[in-house]
Amino acid sequence: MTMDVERLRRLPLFGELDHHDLAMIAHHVGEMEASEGEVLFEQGSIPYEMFVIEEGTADVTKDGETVGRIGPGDVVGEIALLRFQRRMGTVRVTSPLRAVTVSADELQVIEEEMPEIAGHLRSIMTAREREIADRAND
Amino acid sequence: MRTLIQGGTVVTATETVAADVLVDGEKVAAIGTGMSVEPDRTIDATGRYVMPGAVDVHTHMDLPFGGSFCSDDFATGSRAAAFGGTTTIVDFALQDYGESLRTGLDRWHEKAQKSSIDYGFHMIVREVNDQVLQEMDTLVGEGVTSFKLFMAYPGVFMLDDGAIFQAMQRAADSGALIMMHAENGGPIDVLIRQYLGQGRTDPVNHSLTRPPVMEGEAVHRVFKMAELARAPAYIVHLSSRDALNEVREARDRGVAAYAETCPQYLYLSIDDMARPGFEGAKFVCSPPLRTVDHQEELWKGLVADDLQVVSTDHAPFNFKGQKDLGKDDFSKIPNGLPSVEDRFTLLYQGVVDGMIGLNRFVEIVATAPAKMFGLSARKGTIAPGFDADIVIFDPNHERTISAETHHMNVDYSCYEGRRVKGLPQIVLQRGNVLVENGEFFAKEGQGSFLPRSRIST
Repeated sequence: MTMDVERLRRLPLFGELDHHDLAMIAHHVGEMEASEGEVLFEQGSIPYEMFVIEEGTADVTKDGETVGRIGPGDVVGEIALLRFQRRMGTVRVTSPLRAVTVSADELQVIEEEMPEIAGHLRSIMTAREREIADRAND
Repeated sequence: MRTLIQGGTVVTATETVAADVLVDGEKVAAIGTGMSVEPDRTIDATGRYVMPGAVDVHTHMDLPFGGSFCSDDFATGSRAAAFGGTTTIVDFALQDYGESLRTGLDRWHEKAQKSSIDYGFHMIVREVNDQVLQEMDTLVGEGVTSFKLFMAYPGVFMLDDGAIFQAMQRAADSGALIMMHAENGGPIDVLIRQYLGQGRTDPVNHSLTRPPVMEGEAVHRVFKMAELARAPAYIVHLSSRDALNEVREARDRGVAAYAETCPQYLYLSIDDMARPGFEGAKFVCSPPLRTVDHQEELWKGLVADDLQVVSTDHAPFNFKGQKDLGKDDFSKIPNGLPSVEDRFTLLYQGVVDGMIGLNRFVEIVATAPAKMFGLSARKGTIAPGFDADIVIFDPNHERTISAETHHMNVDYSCYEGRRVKGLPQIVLQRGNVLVENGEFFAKEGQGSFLPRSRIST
């Protein structure tokens, strides 16, 4: 199934891409919904996908401590995927959530065929890591 | 209070001798025959061995896991240890994300208040930076003289080689010992992802995705880095021939290379993980259980002193309610086995079966771990001036290991139905009876924190 390009355009991660790129990306993404209390992934687990949140919110915890809240437009789960690491935190849904997903395999294809988008993802990741590190040093 | 342990055979790492042991207060006062003393209490040890209380330098009590904890805390775990003849444990304090080592260690001091037996701590280091390196020195000064690092679990525990090397240098400077979880986590996690992608979700795949070659590779790297850092290094829970060969090679080269194995690697195998249904989950630990042929090699390693210690890596999770988190995905099964109570008797089967000698047995379960981890002024042998931590062991008692009768707070035993010889019948710590004929006499919290000396390997 190919996702509606307009749905992707509304998300900051993809918003700057032109119609052609979006149409390409649309072949490589999935979607998911989760209700309050559900866990998107657990700290220490093997990663399979990253999430771009369209609606809803979630808490990010690490060793039981809440380290962040995420909502529409945010990307989550990309660090483990891009760095071949395990999940660094647990993400639990706090209000009904809808997200676009990119699996590890599809991300590989994007890396190869659309390196500029992959580069964009990496810069988001770096910013997020810095943010997490700053918070830890407070 | 003076106790005379009379008529037994005293067994240490170096001798087996018919002698009485006089305990005065918390210490061993004398060993000999025909002592003319009037003790307050006499224990008849006729026909039994009088051995030093065992020292288990690898336990995980009250270990947090996925929002919950492993099933033994310091109260239940230390009680089970005492029933099994273990009077000292060294547990792993864990630093949470973003915390100082200090905060993590303080939490473990708090948890261990409930221990009925004496205890010390190693510190797990999850990241290496200037603050952590400085704190390592501070902790050494407080008697936490060993640090555990991980080469597995990228993104959670794994450190890169530069970080490991820095920690090794610092440890060498301060007289601490680096303990290593040696499995190369990068390739292992790739295999896990590939196996799960192919729908191979059963527990046995936990072992197949963590092959011995990746343990051997990591052990090799540890000792090369240790050599460069001029630091001693100790491999925890060594499980395979591949890893043992790397220890042998390093020791032959003159590196201060040390390693422990665990009862599960001597007695259990990948066949247990392949038991029908989900039962294999009971045996999921890391490194994983290997094929049977590795066991004999590990025994040889114990005989030749290429393996110096047997510890448990005790980390129990209930089969129902914890292990079953990984019913559809082996990578979600909590890692760890219960065995803090079984180690002494299981290893003694090595004596019964002719794999190791009686004195070597005592050395492996008590004397060597005490010496390796800076406790040899008080623990690990029976000698005047040492803590009176003593096991009176009935070598002729026969029993069947079972979750029905064990004292660990976990709903299964890895050794269910196994017939064993020998029972720690009376267990003393610092002169006090902890266990006698199946009854527990210790009070929760009567164990003491043991500041450990700097490591002098």
